[in-house]
Amino acid sequence: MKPDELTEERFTQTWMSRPGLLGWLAEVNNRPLGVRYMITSLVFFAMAVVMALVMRTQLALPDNNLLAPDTYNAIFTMHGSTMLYLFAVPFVEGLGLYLIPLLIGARDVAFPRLTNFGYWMYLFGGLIFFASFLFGTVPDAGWTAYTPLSGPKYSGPGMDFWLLGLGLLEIAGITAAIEIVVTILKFRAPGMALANLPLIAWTYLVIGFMILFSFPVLLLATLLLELDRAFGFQFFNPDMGGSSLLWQHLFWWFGHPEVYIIFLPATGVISTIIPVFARRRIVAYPLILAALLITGFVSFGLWTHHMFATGLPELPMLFFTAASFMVALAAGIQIFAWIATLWGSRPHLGVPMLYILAFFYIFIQGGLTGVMVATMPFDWQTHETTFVVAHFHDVLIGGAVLPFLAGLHYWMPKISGRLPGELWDRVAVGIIFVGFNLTFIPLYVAGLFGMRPNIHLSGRHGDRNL
Amino acid sequence: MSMKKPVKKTCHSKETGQRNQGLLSGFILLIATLLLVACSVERPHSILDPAGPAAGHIATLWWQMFWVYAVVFIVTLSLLTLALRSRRREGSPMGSRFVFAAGVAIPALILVGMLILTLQTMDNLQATAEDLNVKVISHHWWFEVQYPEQGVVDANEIHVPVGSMVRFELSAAGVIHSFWVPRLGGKRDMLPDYYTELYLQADEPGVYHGTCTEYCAGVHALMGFRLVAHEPEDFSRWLEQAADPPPPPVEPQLQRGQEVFMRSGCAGCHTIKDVAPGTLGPDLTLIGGRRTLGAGTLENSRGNLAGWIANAQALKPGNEMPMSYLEPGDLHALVDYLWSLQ
Amino acid sequence: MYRTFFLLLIAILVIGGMTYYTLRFQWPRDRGPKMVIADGDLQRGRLMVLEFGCSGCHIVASVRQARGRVGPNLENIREQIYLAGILPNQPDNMVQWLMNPREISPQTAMPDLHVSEQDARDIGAFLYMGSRYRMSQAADNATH
Repeated sequence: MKPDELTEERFTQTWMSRPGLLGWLAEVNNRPLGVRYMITSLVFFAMAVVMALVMRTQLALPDNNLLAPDTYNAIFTMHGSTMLYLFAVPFVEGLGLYLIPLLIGARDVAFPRLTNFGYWMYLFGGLIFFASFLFGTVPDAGWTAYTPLSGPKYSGPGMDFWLLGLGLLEIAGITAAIEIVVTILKFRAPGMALANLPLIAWTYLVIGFMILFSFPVLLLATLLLELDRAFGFQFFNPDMGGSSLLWQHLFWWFGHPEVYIIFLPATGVISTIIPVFARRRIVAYPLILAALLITGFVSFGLWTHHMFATGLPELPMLFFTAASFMVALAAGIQIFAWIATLWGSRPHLGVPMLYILAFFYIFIQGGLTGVMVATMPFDWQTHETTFVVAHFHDVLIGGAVLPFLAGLHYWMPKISGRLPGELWDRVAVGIIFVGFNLTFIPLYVAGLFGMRPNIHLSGRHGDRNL
Repeated sequence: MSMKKPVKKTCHSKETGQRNQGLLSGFILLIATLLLVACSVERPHSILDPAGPAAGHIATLWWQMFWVYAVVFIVTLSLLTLALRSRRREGSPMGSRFVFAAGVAIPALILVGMLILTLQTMDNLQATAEDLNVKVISHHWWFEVQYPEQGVVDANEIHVPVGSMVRFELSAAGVIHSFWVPRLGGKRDMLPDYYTELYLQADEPGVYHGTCTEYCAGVHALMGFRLVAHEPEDFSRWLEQAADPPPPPVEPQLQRGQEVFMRSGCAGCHTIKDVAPGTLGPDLTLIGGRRTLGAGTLENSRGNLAGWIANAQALKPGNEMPMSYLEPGDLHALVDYLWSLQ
Repeated sequence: MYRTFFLLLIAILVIGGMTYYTLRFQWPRDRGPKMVIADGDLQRGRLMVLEFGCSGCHIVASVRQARGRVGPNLENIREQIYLAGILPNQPDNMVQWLMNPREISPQTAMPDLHVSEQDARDIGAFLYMGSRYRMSQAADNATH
């Protein structure tokens, strides 16, 4: 029954966003805000890619002098920090904000004004990060900022920009998680039982809880470090009874779930796209759901595998090896469920599907080398070498960026209202696949030859200026 | 952007074929690069060219893992290829049983097997008694080396006898660093608040490269050391010589050099046994015989030594040694004197 | 569409020509005498530079590790008129200087590294090549 003109007019007036700049600032609808999150994250992504290119240019020739040591250190810190804090998680948040209400039959997320607030936290967090360039003190303690290096004695004011920016970003993440969890649990349309949720919505529910348990720990850690730096507290100062390893435990308690927070929604995207292009229901939904829940839970029991070389007692650390293997099993369930879904389906090889095929190759490669580095004695040789760098780029780019690109191509017509051209997009997939492997497979080899990351000169000690 | 026609069905199997070819050739690239590693030329920092039992066990584990996981990789991608090439049918022939078997049961068996291999490797890596104790303390961008039982202090170079298990007691004076000799074994972080220990043994004589392997800002890239493995008799001889303080210089040039050392501020940071007490920089008692300068930054030669003393900042920017503007005659004498400290 | 292509081509030609004409004067041809040292082995000279430790004090062309800032930059030493401020720059003087710097200039900070005559010839020949070393190596590889 089409409403009459007057009703339609009043309806539009009520729900329309306010026009002009004020309207843009005051936007609370999840769809424009989700798009805003995604666009901002892609801008930061481009900046981080430029930084990566500068780094590789410096390392392309041995003993190169394009960048001074401190400049290189600042750039690799910002590259890692931007990619992980300003691109990966916010992109996930943006996609979720856009899709979840649509998937569960809700009109908007639970707290629309909180979404708006979260976006400004994110934007200003990122701007604070980059404001450090304007003040000439860029953070240079690495994206992991180990103490005591990042403490008051050994690091300059750049780290304060990092810590304050990160604080705002954590708040943005926590607000997004609250939104996601409450929306999915309380705002489903009648008949949308949890058992009927699309898998991508399940992934968002799982990561919502994961964020709520992990981000506050990073917020705490950054708060403690800032107290050390600004107010003379001694949490991380070994000379006064603090602990250098405390930071690592707190950071990696957050840091490991963080990467699954990035990865699981990507698996949700794949679980959405494959059934569509294969024209079938997904196979083994309950098993995939179990895999998601296992991953979410067990990922909190892996953090010490980043600290295998710190001299902690060996037997307890072997438990972390075993737990890391368990998470690999959970990822394997999903891979084989997707293969089963594709079996005999002669899928339509549109651009999203091509990205997913590229994902299979790159992510499985990264996942298997991940199981290798989770093996503690082998990690004693490959920790802090480019072998691990190649591994995590495999799983992050293959396992997260490629599915995100697939999702962007898949949902872009919905978001923008237009259909894409196909040819250049296909060329792009090919270039990304070949280029990615050319970039990172040699890093595996270089790591086996002893090359370290975070160094501003190549050509020494195992580096073959790769 | 105008609407484009959907991709024709005839292109699609070509795309699948191309994709599979792409996957195959990508995999061949991976295998080829890694095989190059096996039949490689000598690589002094390679973990796949072990020269000690610890590195040997880990290299063995690596090859075991490599082959097992390579098979897993090929099988998985083959299943994917089969899935894509399989004849078209309505519903999937593979159900939850396939997913469970392929995704849980078989991988679990494989991973349990790998876990057992891991535990075996850990067992092999357990060190029993040590034959030699060495303390290494890391500073900002150099390594202090002490042989506590023999009373020898050195820097940036470690001497050990071949075939002896050496226990390294590691710590840091400042930020966290890490100690790694790739051809001999795994690495161990050096922490400012706890001692960590590492057991290494060299089975062949030679000079092994080591580095700091935990980002420590600044010129972390240029923080390294050499580990020299001697035949046991040579090692005893070296140790005896190193334990003795250097004889007082007799030649006038060397005497002038020592005098320059004392009055130009060098003694404020550097120790020379029985001559100067400084503790901020590396001990220079054995500098003449050292293979590198600046913790692995440069080869040690008289020319490089002169350049380092005059302007260490140009060679290792940001390190703690200031530039020195010595009179040329003094510089020459100082270089000759330090070069004589073998 | 052809119009765009054509205009782009013209733009590239114009800008390319202007760039070439400007830069042609930026790097003028070497007008000095050719500095050649008879029987100086370039490759060996480069190795000697590293072995003797010249890189500790000097910046040397084609030796990336040579970043020393104690003595002068040696990248374009062939264009200099005087060596060490006191010797006219000629091949023979270069060899003599490398062999015995402190004899020729007692107050120099450059140490006496006991460089033999053959070593000095090799090093001198290499230094005179400057940044053209890599091109000469590439040419050698191509012809052999």
